[in-house]
Amino acid sequence: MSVTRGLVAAVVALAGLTRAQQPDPLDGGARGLEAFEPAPASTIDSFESADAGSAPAVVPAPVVEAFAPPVFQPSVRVYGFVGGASSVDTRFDSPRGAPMGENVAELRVRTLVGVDVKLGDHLRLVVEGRAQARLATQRDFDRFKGFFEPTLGDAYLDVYTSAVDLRVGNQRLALGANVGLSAADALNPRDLRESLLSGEPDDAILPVFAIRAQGVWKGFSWLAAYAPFFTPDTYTVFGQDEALLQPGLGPVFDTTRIDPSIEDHLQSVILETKRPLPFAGDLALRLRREGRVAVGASWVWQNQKLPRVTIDGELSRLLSAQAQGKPNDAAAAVSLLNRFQANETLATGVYPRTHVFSAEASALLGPGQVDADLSYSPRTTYVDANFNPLDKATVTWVLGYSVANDSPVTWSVSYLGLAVPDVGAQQQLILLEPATAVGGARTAFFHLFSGFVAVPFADKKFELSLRAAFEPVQRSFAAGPRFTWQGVGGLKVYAAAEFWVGQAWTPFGYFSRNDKVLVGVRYEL
Amino acid sequence: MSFRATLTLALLTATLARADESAADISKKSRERGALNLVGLVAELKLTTTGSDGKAKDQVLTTTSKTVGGRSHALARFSAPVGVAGVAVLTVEGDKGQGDDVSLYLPKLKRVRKVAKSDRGKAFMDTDFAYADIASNGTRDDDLKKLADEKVEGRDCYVLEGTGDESSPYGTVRLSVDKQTFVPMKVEYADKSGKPFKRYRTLKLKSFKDRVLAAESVMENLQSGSKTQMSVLKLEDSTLGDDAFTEQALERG
Repeated sequence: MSVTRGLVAAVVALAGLTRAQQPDPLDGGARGLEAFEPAPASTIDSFESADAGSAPAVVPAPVVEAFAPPVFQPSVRVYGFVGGASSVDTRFDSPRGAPMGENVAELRVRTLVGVDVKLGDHLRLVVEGRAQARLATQRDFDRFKGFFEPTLGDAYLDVYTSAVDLRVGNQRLALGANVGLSAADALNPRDLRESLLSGEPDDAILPVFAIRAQGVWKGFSWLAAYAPFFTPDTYTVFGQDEALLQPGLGPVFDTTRIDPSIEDHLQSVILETKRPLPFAGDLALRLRREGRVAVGASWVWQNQKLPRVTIDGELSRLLSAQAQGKPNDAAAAVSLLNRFQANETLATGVYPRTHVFSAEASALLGPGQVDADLSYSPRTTYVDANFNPLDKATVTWVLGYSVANDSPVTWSVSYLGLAVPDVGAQQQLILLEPATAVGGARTAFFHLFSGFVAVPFADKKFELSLRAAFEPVQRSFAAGPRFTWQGVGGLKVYAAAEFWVGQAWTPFGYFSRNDKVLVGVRYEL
Repeated sequence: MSFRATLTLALLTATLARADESAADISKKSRERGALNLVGLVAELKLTTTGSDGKAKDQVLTTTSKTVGGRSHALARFSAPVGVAGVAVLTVEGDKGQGDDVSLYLPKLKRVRKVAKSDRGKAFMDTDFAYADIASNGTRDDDLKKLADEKVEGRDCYVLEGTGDESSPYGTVRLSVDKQTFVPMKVEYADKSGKPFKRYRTLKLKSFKDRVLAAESVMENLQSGSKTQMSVLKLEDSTLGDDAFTEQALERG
């Protein structure tokens, strides 16, 4: 399950791959020349004809003036945004009071303010503060809840020398050729609470404290990074639209016994029983050769960012029966509750270490850029149909093709594949494989296609966009169309929708209770 | 030798040296006087692009250039408006017959992306300058030929003419380069079909230490009716080393 969440989260990152390439509508402010009236294209026969009948409005001055002498002062740039979105489900599936009932309405507000101070050519300081607030309610305003969460964003000091660029502090580290999809891009934890279709992809990448050095050596660019303190992904286990446990598992977890006022405070620790020791953090090395075809290789030694959860046998059987649609075993549920109240440990959650060896390549091809990643990890944690963890070696490959020109239409398409060898005859990688895969020892495969397209119109005042992902084996898909008005500099107002389609235990069908429509606004400072 | 004779000889020598300037030499020197490609200096620029409908938009960026490994490397970093703040562009002069190599750093992605070669004739960050205008004048130095001198806005100018290569958006390019300062006073670009396409003009000259530069200039798109005026807001000596002109250093901000 954890891998699927990661994959789906990566789809979001991919979907935003090229958005940043298109500058937003630019601010106004004229400093025009007077009375320059170029002739229409059809009448242009010579350069002189463009000026025919009128002298140039501004005559170049042959007089040479002098520039004012430079005065050193640090350059300071303040940046940020404030945004929010309100959404309503298109279906109200869970009745009032249902265990783990779904949320039907939600309000999210998020802001970021940062300052970027450049103290000459060799020193730079960046500090960001972030905050988000979230309100959610189930049907009939049942279980109305919310939280406010201020955090430190990017906060680092850069030192640039001719041999090495050093960055120390909270930062986002980019590894691999395909943003968010490459298995090598693993040093930063993700905020898996972000809306997978309508959220901003870069909002989901959480900065982590790290020391990073990079430079160029004999034509190779190199990078070394060390993140000493473990930081897990941020996620919700239950009670939110994007939670790991969806409402379909409700009868097993009677969350109505937990007061909404404390529900969100439990989420970050409910699955874990042990964290890695301080300084036993992540390491990464990367070497890359630029050129017509840029090629590179990397090694990441990391703690997985989602816990490997081993659950009690009785709980496992109850969950498995629920997933298979069997009647709820009330006696077993009561037994579990009693054991829980007796402080028995029903689950252990740890963050195992793993290696990720990767190769990457990028090249221009026609109007786009091709990015390829191939990764091998000797140990990745999956979840089987009984909700037990399975550690398997994994080969991951990603092929992306995205816009590399100034076309007004931005687009990207990606294909991600997974191969998991040595899956036992009775094992099923839940969500990644259908139940029919069970029966023989095999190499499990998973394929995912995703894409993004945005088309501006009316002089870029409006934009129509679509993010979508499709998983062909179990035929589930997700789509997020959006209509945006961006007629004032820095301000975007949008209406959007999210659709999750597929059978209950498929990568996207699992979230199928979360179809919604939303309106939102975002203002960039 | 008297002082007068010495001065006469010196002037004569200088004149002879000027006479020997090849089209390639003139082109190379002039390229280093354009505000988008200032060798050894860092300039803060404002680009004001006015569309055919009269609407104007401003962009502010710093730009500098350096010759590394025999190739011109031009670096531009945008600081305004908010939509492009933090974006950095590195343009590396390509081999003969090849287009320039253009890389964009996108701060949101923390990634460097390439600009498609087929697209380098298109607008540079929504202005009337093209990516192809940054590290070159649209032609190869070796392909330029020298025409008869002429006066442009009262200043004596060399006149050079050349054709754009396959990756260039231009068919022919005609440069008028100030003899005294080597600042390109006027550049006329025709498209591949020979129609007038764009025109660059220097509007104001300013000196900085021992150099003279285009302090204000304008690129006019004669076909679309838009124009981009470029003003140098601030100028200082560059202390950047070769390491600053790499893709990896684009993130420096």
